[in-house]
Amino acid sequence: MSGVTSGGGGGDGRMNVKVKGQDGEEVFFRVKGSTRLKKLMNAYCDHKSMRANSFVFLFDGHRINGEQTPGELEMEEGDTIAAMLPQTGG
Amino acid sequence: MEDQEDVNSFRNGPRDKKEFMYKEESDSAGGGDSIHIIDMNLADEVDKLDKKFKEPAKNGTAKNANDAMRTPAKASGLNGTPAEKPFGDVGSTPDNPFIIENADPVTSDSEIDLDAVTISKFISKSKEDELAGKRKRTIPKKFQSPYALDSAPSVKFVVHPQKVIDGYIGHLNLRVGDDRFLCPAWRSKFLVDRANAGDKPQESSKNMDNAMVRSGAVGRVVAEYTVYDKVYFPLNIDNTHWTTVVMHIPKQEFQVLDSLYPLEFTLETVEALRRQIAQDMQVANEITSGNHPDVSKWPILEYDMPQQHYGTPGLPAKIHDRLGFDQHNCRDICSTPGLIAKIMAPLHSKILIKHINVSSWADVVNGSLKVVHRLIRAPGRTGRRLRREIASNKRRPGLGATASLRWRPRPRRWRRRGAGRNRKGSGQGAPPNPKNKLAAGGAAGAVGGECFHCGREGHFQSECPNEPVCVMSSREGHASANCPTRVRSILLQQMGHAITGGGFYNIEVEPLEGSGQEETFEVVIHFEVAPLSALQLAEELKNLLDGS
Repeated sequence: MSGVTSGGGGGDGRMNVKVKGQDGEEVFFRVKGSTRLKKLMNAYCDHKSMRANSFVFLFDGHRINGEQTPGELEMEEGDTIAAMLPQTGG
Repeated sequence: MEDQEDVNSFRNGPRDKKEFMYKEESDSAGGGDSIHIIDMNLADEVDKLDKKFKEPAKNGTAKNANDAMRTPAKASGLNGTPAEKPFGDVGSTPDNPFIIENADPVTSDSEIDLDAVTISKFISKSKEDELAGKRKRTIPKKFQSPYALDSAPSVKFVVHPQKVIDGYIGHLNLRVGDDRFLCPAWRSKFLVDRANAGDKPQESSKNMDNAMVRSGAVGRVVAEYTVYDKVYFPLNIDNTHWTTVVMHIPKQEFQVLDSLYPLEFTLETVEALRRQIAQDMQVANEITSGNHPDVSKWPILEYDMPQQHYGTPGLPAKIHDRLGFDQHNCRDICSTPGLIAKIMAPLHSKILIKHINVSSWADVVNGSLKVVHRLIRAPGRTGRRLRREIASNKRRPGLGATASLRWRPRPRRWRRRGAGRNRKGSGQGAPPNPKNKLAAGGAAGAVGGECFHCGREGHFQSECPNEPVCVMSSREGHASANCPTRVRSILLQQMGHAITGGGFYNIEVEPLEGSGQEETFEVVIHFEVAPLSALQLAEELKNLLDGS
């Protein structure tokens, strides 16, 4: 899991990805292809002054695991990650 | 002044958050829209963040925090592959989707894992028709739902976080999932959001294979929508209610199973879901040369369900029933992050506004307001805080996770007179502790240290023999807090509300303490739509103000 530059995609190259919140606000991150995404997630939560696990991050509808890297997910420059707040209801 | 600051510090979160290096300050400031680029590659940034990740891993309390990130095991469970793990007797790890990789079942059982406990509790209860008194169910006589399941009759939930929904779906998937696909709860939200926003995923710059791998739509269609005859989507309506939508492929229809709302309330959301599924299918058809049906015209039909009496919309009434007059309850409610927001959810939900004339909703809203009324009247700090929060009118109270009403100690500020708000001054922020005093003995004067009490140099506030000096009026004899020149800030108090067809309601507020000064009162009456004559209004206002 440690910084594997698997499968084409990002590799070690840097890319800008954006995290889009529920309110439509976008925060841009510059990440390396081999950076584990939990770094990005925590940075986003910090940015929003929320607790570390308060968001759920989806990449194209699939939930992102913090141990994954942009390279593994084949992210590319400009890709969007959706940040979701928990939904409640009865 | 103090109060004001306090509120501000709430809104902006902790002050010492400076983790980020924004790439170009000028860009982000000038653009009007808040676009920042956070560069994760800066050296010290990485160190700092790394440290942060490692720290929580050590202590046990962060366990749950990490669970949230370990979801992908869910994927294996949900894609129809049977779980390798043996299924516990009470289902304590019903393929708990939140524990994967190195978390072996033994450790996860022994640890106090809130999620697992909640889920297991929930699942063990779900076998019964009634959810442990949390909700009463009545089976309608007229029509037996085709989706009555023997092991788990409900696909509906009480007030539970999404994780529980997902966990429950994982459980259902193992038990009954051989003829249907159960979509994770996040997915439906994602689909609806995407449909509403009209987003399209970015085109891949690579070749066709890459496009296939990258495209979530294809993955969703091939691995999820079309595997079974039925696809179940748990769907959240306006953050107040969960409902279930079934995509029935042989019948070519969408079926809505809702235990509370009529179809008209949920139609919009379901249509958005249908739109996005149709779009996914279309994308899949383009990329994979598959022949998936066009679902965009499939009818949306409502099916009968056992109806619930208490859902979130009923929550306020229920809380109100149980609240009693115990102030500890009030405190607990106020200090639970997000609970007030939930209580007030019916008030600002879109459904309410749209269906204002439905009388049951008026009851629900009435319940909400009654609870808040009681909370406002709570004695002590709880009530005061809430009243102030409402009166300050900065935002709706309790909204959002950070905006909880928890009491926080007010940070002590050590401000030197005459130095303005300069925070960078080295000696200024530090309280005059004894060590400092010794070391700085003579130096304190040289730095410009002066007594915070009387403003003279040479001693500290703790040993000040003089009268206090007011900063505001520059006069001796009273502290600034008691200065007669202080202007009372304008206070906005909500006095009452009205519901169409339901008349006016009074919210009791504490009378303002008379300060002996001239005070003016103005009343703002605001209405959205009011089929109301001036005469009626005057009549109702009399009721509202107790005849005065």
